[in-house]
Amino acid sequence: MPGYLLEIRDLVVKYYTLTGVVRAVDHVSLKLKPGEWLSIVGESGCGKSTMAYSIVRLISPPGKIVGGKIIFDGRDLLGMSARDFRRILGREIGVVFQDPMTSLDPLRRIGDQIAEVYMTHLGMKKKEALEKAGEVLERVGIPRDKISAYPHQMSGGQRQRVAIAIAVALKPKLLIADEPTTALDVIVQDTIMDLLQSFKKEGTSILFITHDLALAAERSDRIAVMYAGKLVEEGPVEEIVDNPQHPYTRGLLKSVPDLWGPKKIESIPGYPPDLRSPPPGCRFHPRCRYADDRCRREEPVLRCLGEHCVACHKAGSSGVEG
Amino acid sequence: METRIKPKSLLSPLAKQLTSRLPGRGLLLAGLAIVLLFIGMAVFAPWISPYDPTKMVDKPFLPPSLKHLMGTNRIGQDVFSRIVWGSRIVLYVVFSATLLSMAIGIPLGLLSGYRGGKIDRVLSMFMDSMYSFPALILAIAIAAVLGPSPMNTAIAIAFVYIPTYFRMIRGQTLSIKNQLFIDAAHALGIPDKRIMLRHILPNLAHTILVVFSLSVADAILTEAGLSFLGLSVTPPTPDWGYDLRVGQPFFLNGQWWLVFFPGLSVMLLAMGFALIGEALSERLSLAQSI
Amino acid sequence: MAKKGLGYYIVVRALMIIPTILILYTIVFILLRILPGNPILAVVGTRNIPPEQLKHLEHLAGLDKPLIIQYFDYLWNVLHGNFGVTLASPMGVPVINYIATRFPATLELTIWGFTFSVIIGLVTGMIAALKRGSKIDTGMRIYSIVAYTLFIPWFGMILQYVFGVILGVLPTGGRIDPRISLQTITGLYVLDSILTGNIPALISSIKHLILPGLTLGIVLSGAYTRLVRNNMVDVLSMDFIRSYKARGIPRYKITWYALKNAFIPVITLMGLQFAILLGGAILTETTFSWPGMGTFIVDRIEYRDYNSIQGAIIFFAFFVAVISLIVDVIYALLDPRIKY
Repeated sequence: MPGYLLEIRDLVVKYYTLTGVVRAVDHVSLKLKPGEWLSIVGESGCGKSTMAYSIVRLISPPGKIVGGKIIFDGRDLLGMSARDFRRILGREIGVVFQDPMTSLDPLRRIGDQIAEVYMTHLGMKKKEALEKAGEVLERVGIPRDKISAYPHQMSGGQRQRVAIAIAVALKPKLLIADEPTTALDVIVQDTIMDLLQSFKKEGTSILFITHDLALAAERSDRIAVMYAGKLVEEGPVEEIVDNPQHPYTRGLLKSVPDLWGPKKIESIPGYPPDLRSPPPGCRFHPRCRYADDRCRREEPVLRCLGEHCVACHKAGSSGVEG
Repeated sequence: METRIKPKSLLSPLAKQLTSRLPGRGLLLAGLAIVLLFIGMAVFAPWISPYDPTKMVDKPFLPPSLKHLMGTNRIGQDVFSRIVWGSRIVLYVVFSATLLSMAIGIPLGLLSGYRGGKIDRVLSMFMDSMYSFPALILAIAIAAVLGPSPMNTAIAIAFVYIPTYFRMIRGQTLSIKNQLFIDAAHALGIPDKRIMLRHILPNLAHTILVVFSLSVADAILTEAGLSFLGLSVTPPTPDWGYDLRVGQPFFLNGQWWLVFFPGLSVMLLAMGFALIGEALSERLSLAQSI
Repeated sequence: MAKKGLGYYIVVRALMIIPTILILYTIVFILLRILPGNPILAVVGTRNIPPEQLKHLEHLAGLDKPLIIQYFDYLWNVLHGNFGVTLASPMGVPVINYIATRFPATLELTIWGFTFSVIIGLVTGMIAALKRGSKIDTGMRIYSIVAYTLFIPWFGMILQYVFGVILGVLPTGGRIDPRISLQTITGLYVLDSILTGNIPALISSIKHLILPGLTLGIVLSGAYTRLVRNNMVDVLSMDFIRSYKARGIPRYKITWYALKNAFIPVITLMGLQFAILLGGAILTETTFSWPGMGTFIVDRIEYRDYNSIQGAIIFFAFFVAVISLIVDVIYALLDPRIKY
């Protein structure tokens, strides 16, 4: 058995809202090997971000992790004291968020914000920490003299680099990136992806959250597709792209424009279900053109063929082909 | 943005607020109960008040008892009767003042926001400066020049709250002015005056209601302040602020009822309006912009 | 570069208060002169006075000239520190003499009231935000409404009664124990006591400041409680707070950063609050026999001294403009996003 850096077992996260209980993540299991890039793909509201935030325990009321285990590097993250957990956060696990415009403190110089990580986790003195902050800034491609700049004096792309610099400052084993490029324009997007990949080459595992399957396919080792709080398909990137088994994954692939082919872009009809009262059986059945009585009645379980797992009654049968 | 619904009258939003089960209903009902209690007291003063508030009816400095619910003051007047009749003065002054400032502030705000340009700049500059000046001091200056009488106090207080209405109405008019239905009205050739009165003003009903409640709460405290400083009524007219001042030396001697009840009345009445304003503004999420 | 920029900003802002001062002056002037009736008669009341004495008073008040001349004359005088002379006993004393002794007392009171209100507002607002949705939050919300609607003289008297009469620990009026002599330099007694090393005076003046300062402070803290709470709730839900958490930054530090961010909009409120504070100071001074501008105005109203009232009000207009300048500069210093 290969050693896993991160193991999510049977995670259940619920939001207790005034209008009902939302099952945002519903019995999801995932594994991540050291040095691997795993992308979680799905529409907004499918629970992918909730899952990422569960790993770093950033679920706050009305949300609550109600079941499951998260094992990181042999330690149970959810069972840990807040104190012990804080030692891991920022040091062994780094997080990059979606909106670089708002993820930095507007009132503090970026150098201070980077240096703070060194001071908090390594007990460095301010001067030494600022020195290190300069180094890591250069590493993410920002001139060292920007150390005394305020966030508002930088562009969105630069800010996201700073956010990444803070996340990787202590060379974490795992970097969680929640749609880090969504708020940026396409060219900047690419350079940020390159930057992330360079850290992967240095041995950091990456958990990449995105709604963009094409973007995920470019860089990932493995892809996990989520729909309505459930993991519907998971496997090596080639398998997912070339041999998708779940109708939803196929739908996502078809909605990607292709420069080189006369492919018709198709969108998936309908909307994701209301997670306060998800449909019975397979949650995708109201939008699935292959759905039959069994799909409406019985919830499919995740079945694996080698590394490739899928949760669909129709998978593997001829009914889904085409 | 939610779509704007034209209310039939200024009061219909209040009715809607009362019937809806949104958070803040408790505040609203508590506020209304307090306000209605005092209005009832003012309206039915002759029937509620047990004694003539201006006459010596018993020995001075009697502590509260069944005969004199709030005791008697230094010249043997019944404190409870003075509180009951005093509510008339406060409400009269505060409502006249507020209506007067609305009558001036709202049209000017509408005009300024709708027309823009030079009128807007000049008016805004004056109103902003006035707004930045301490309200009570301004009112003191005006009241001092006009001389003490309830109507003069009302005029002094009215001046103070004109900028409050002006600023609010102007801001709201600016944001409504650019909405589609106003453009549509223009396209139909409806005259400006009609657009302002028939299309913009009704949409401000909610805002006006909030500002009204909050400014009345504030005006109650200002009125009490002016009369505490001897600028509102002349004795022996019953007036809470004035009674408070006259009672001060005796209060520190232990005759607490001379001061306690008038001050409590000021606070409760102001709180009643503040609660209504707070509850309404919360629903409008205007709380921070006022 | 930043330093030069800030100096420039201050100069520009200082120039910008000139129109503000002129407008405030004009408003006060218009209100005092255009209102119906002869101001001298209004302040003198309905009593009959000999025509020659009325003429004399009008001349002293500068009311015998055309309005437009009066407007510029008075402005010119005020800019030279000449606020006219008193029109009632003691007659003919320059108003500025009174302002010079009374204003430091008001300033000292407002500084304390201001400080109390900000501290109380920050603490209560922060607690409410950290415990949002709880009973404590509701309690703080009620506190902010009740504090706002407290009638200053009433609340002041209750404090006087409890701490001055029942407990007997604090004085109920005045600025300092009259048996203590203090050499005044700035007119701010606490500061003067420290400057002259006068310990008994320091203790006495602080003791005299506590009750009036708290009265003002508590009444004005309600607005801060509410604003700090709402800002803090907003800030706590912002992305950068989540980022701080995801970096393993200790909680107390995150709370501090959140508070700093929540404080920025509060500064804007401070200018307005200071104006309300000055109004409240008049009531506080009257309640606590505090020899400041407020009691001066009230005294002069009783003497029906029109010139003194006008001078004091105009002086307040200048003071309010200066405060708004100071608030702007503090804002620019604390928020790096302000461009200057």
